[in-house]
Parts: sequence; structure tokens; C-alpha cells
Amino acid sequence: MNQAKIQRANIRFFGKSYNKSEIFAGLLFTLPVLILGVIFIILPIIVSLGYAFTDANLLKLDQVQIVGFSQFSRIFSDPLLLIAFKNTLRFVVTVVPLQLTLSLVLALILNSRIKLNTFFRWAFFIPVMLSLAITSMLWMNLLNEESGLINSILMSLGFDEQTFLSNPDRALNIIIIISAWQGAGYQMLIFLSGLKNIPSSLYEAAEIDGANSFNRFKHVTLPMIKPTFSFVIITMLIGAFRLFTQPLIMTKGGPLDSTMTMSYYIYQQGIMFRDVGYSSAVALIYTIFLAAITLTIRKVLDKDNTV
Amino acid sequence: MKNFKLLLLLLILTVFVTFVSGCKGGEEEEDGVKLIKIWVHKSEAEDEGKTYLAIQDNFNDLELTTTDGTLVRMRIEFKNSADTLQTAINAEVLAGGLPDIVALDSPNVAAYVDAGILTNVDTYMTQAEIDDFVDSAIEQGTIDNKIYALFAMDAPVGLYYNKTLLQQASIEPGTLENPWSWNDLFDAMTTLKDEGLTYKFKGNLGFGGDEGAMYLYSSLIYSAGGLFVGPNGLVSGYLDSEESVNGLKVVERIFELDSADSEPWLYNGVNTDALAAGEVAFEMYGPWGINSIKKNYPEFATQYDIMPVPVYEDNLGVKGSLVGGCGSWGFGITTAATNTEAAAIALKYLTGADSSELLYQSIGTFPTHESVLENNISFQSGPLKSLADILINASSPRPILVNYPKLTLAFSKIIAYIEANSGTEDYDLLNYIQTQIYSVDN
Repeated sequence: MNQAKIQRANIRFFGKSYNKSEIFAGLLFTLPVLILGVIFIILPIIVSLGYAFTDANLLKLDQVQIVGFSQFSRIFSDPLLLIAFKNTLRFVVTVVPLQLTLSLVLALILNSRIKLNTFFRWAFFIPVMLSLAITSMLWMNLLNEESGLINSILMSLGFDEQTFLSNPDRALNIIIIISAWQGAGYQMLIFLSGLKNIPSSLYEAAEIDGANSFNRFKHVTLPMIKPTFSFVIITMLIGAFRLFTQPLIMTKGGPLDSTMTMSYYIYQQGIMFRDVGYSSAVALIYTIFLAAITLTIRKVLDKDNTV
Repeated sequence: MKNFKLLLLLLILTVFVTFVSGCKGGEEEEDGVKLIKIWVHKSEAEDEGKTYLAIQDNFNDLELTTTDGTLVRMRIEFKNSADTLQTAINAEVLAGGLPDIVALDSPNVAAYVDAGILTNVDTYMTQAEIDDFVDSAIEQGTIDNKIYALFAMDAPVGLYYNKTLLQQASIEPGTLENPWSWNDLFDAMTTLKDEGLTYKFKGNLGFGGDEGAMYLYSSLIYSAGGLFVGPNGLVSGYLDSEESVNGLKVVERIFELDSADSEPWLYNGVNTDALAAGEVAFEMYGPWGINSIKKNYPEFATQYDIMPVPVYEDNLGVKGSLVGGCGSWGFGITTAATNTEAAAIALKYLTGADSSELLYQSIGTFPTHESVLENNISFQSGPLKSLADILINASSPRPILVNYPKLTLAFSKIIAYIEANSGTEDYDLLNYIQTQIYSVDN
């Protein structure tokens, strides 16, 4: 009898049995996030998708006309968009290897049981805990050409005053270095957890076989953290392609568009220039591009991991 | 079960409080009273914000009424920054929650009128009230011969100069009747340099972010006979016209001179009071310099003056027209205002002579009323009089077009391009202007 009652109170879903009251409670608890997610994520995506086919202006969203694919045709003749795309690609191909190497090196250092391990772990991770806006402001002050600390040090050492963020040849490189520094701590922790999961017996066996530390790294460490690489590279790539906060706060896409990135360009068109239709069209094409890149890389890395 | 119910109740309460706390409660209006809400781009802590509060209190003390006897009251709501105000306006345009009056930078008037956000106020103004405003203030708020915004403050641009240095070198400064050309300025700098005196020019090119270039240097285009935008609303054919390009070539010349000499011609230090500190002989700037000198270098107050911005001069020595930049923030009545007459009463006070004078006293911006400029003793002599004369006789607002945010950024980039690339092998000004024109017109 009791068994039958329990059976009635359970619901089977995708082969698993769930208690009715637990499902109800679970749904209630997820309701706030579902509502907020729909309002602030799902709906804006759908609306933005729709705006891509209109002439929507931020101040005239009640007077929207459907213009078909004309916003998309603008994309391919926009010289500034090409600059933004090139800058973004340059950022991605530079920052990803840089941050990857930096985070792996930091993880290896922390995994080697050095003294003050906890201190270094915190020190490397602190930039991740600070918001991008704060670190950007901090670097802006340090790099201030007239009164910044870096120029003061350079000048006290006898060097000339240097231009940093106002120099079109240097601004993006500076943002690359800052971004690599800022994000490396997070990737370092992921690598560190991957390193901790490598059984020590593998290193012991390699040592018995006469492998030196480089060979141990090459033949034991690297193959064992390959799955971690896949995750780290994909998250880094997505983050790099979305570069926005640093140009917004530090350079406003300048000087002379040298730090104009795709995300900042989408923001500039939609919010500053109020051209929501065009901004949405660019965002849509860019999202498709990012999805294709991510899926391709994931496939390549997954295939590599299964070999 | 009891715990579960308690948990459920807490959850519902949390969701409810979260949503309700996000909603702003409306303020009840008493019968016979119309409360006019005004959004400003400043915070209560800033001097300008404090002045708006003083204006609000003064207005409410007057107990002005509409023709049907409704008492009009004013309430200033602080949005703390231009960006926050803009975001709030963008959001409320769709949600229908705009206040009666909004603060706006003069180049935004065209876009707001185009979007149907602003109501024209001509019908609520007498000719005498319009005439009391300086021409540039009316021009800034006028679209298609209708006034949509009024301005209590303006910021004319002038060329500050060290009077003592010019006297030492026997150089006559430019005047409204006989303004200096840029060549005259370069000649004066050369003379000062040759005599071993301070000669540098502070151009303030980085002032005000991307907007600074348009504010300080739009005169280059106008003075050379060029235009930013044509009657068709397009930049193409105007910003790249021969006249406009000639105007821009003045900037080229400035940087050429700067880089050709072993000693730079342009000041690139950080001292905001470089003129008063004796580091430069000339400075292109708005009215804020006057207050700054008065406060930080009172002993210098009699040693400087302000002349009109230099004009263009062609190869034959023919000088262009005298046009100086100006412009500031003003206010407009939104189409959401339910009692436009009451809103107009508040707007006229907010931008009227008394408020205009109060703002001048508090933050140093220029009054936009000729009555104040004529009657206030401060404007009867010295740099204040010089700049007031420039405002009345030789100031023109920034270009008026819906795509202004694109244009001002494009102009700023053109100036930055000249600064970074003039004299290099890759330098191609016309091509760069064309690229920028594309981004504005498309």
C-alpha cells in the first residue's frame, strides 16, 4: 500500500524518478532565475534578432520599419567594421596564446610546492576577483602619460616620457597585455585542478624510466591535461572575441580606431549612434561567426582528446 | 511541511520585494497644483546640481500659476551623469515614463525632435523673451524655425593670451573688427620666441573627450567657408569640400610647425592653468579658464585677456569669416508633459535671466541673456567683457543634425589623424575624411 503511494507521488522524466513535491519545490526555487533569464536574456536576444531586419533607432523604437536584409548588406561595405574585425582577430590570436602560456606557467609554479604557495595563489588570482572596470581604471592611472606611475619610473631612470593609450601603435598591445594579466589567474586555477588530478604514479614511473623534467612535462603532464586545454581554450576564445570593457573604459575604441573591437563597435552603433537595426544585424552575424568558430574548435579538440 | 510552507512564503516575499523595489513610487499631486519633474545630468553634490536646487527653491517660492490658476511647482531629479540621463531617456521613450522637462546637450536637440521627444515652445514665449537670449542660444534650440530647447548657459570659445607678453613684444592682439588669422598667431609666436619670451600655444585638443574637437575647432571649417553638413542632411560633399579641407589644413600646419622645430610649439604638459603659470602665451579654451585663473592665480587676473578665435587665411592673404565655437546644456519640454503651459512656465524660469546669472556665479558658464551681459558689472570690462562680446557677435553653435554623435566622433578622429600622421608617408587626409564621411552618412 505504502509502496503504491510512493509510486503515485513520483514522476518519471527521462528515465529518472522524481518526487512530485521535490519537483514543485525545485520549480519554485528556479522560478526567479527563469523569470529574470527570460526577461533579461532570452527576450532581448529574440528582440535583437527581430531588430536586425528593421531600421530601428534607439529613440524611435515605436516607429520601426522592416527593411529586409538591407542592414546586412551594409555590413559588407563598412570600412570601420572591417577595422573592428581585424583588431578583434589580432587581439584573439595574441591574447589567447599569451594568456594560455601565462596561466599554465603559473599553474606549474604553484603545483611545484614552492614556499608561500597560498600567498602566490591569492596574488595570481586577485586580478580575477576585481572587476574589469576597476582594473581598467587602475591601469589607466598607471599609464597616464603625464602623471602616471609608469612614466614617472621611466623618467626617473632617465628615459623619455612615453605615450601609451594615446598611441595608435601601442594601445591595443597594452590592452592585450592587461587582458592576459587579468584573466590568467582564472585559467591558472583550472589548469591547477587538472594538474592535481594527474596520478603521482605516472611521474614516478617516468622518473624510473629516466625521464628528465622536460620529458615528464612533455610525455606525462601535457597529455594528461589535454581535456583541460579544450575547456580553457574555448572559454578564452569566447572571452577574447567579446573584448569590450577595456576599450570602453580605457580608449573608447581609439586612438584612430586602433582598439575598436567588434563588441565595442556593436555597442557604439546601437547605443551611441542609436542605430539599433544595424547594430543588431552586426551582432547577429557576429554571433553566428562566434558559434561556428567555437563549435569547430570544440570538435577539433574533442577529436584530439579521444585519439 | 511547515518548514516548506515557510520557505515558500519567504521565496514569494523575496520575489515580490525584488520586483516592487525596482518600481519607483509616483508622487501624488495635490488638487490645483502641477508638479513639473525635471531630469538633470548632474548630481546633487556638484556645484551645478546645487544651483539647480537653488533655482527649484526660488521658483517654488514665487508660486507661479497657469492661466487656469493651477499652481506650478518644480522638482529637480538628478541623474548624476550625461550617460545615465541618456540611458534613462532611451528607456523611458519606449516605456512612456519621460518627465516634463529634460536636460540636453545642444547637439542632441535635432535627434530628440526627430524622435518626437520634444515639444516646441514658441507659443509660450513672447518676442521680448526670445530677443533677450543671445542669438547662439536660440540657434542651438531651433529646428525648422521652431524653438524646442532653451539654454541658461553658454560656453563661448576664445583665444586666451598673456597681455604682458604681447605688450613686451609690441604685438597687437586680434579684435572682433580685425581678428587674427592663424598665420597671425604663428607670426606672434615666432616673434615671442625670437625675443626669448614664452611663446607656446595650448590647444586643449584632448579637452572634453571626442566632443572637445568639435567644440573648440569647428570654427576652422566655418571660417574657411566650409560646412559640416548640407541641407540634405548629408556630410558628403560638405566636409570634404575644398573649403572644409583648407580649414583642416590649418591643423596640419600647427603640427608641422610643432614637429619642425627642436622646441615644440604646442604645450603638452598637464597644468590646467598653464597660461597663468607662464608656461604658454596662448590658449584656446571656453569660459571656465576665467574662474580658474580668478581662483588659483588672482594676481594674473589683470595680465591676460581673450581675443576671438583665429580665422582662416588663404594663400593670397584673404581672411575668412569670424566664427567661434560655443554651446552648452539646456532644457526642453518633452511630449510626455501633460500640462505644457505649466512646463513652459517652469522651463522659462529654469533658463531665464535669473537662473542664467545664478549658474554663471556658481560654475562660471556664460549667461545666455543679453540683459544679464549688459547689466551685470562683471561683464563690463576685462576678459569677461571680451568673451561676452565674442558670444554676442561671433559665436556659432555646433552643427545641427540627427546624426550628430557620428559627426562629432568623425571630426575628432580627423583631427587626431592629422596629429598622428601628418608628415608621414602614409598620410592621406582626403582619403581619411572620405572614410569618416561614409561612417556618418551611412
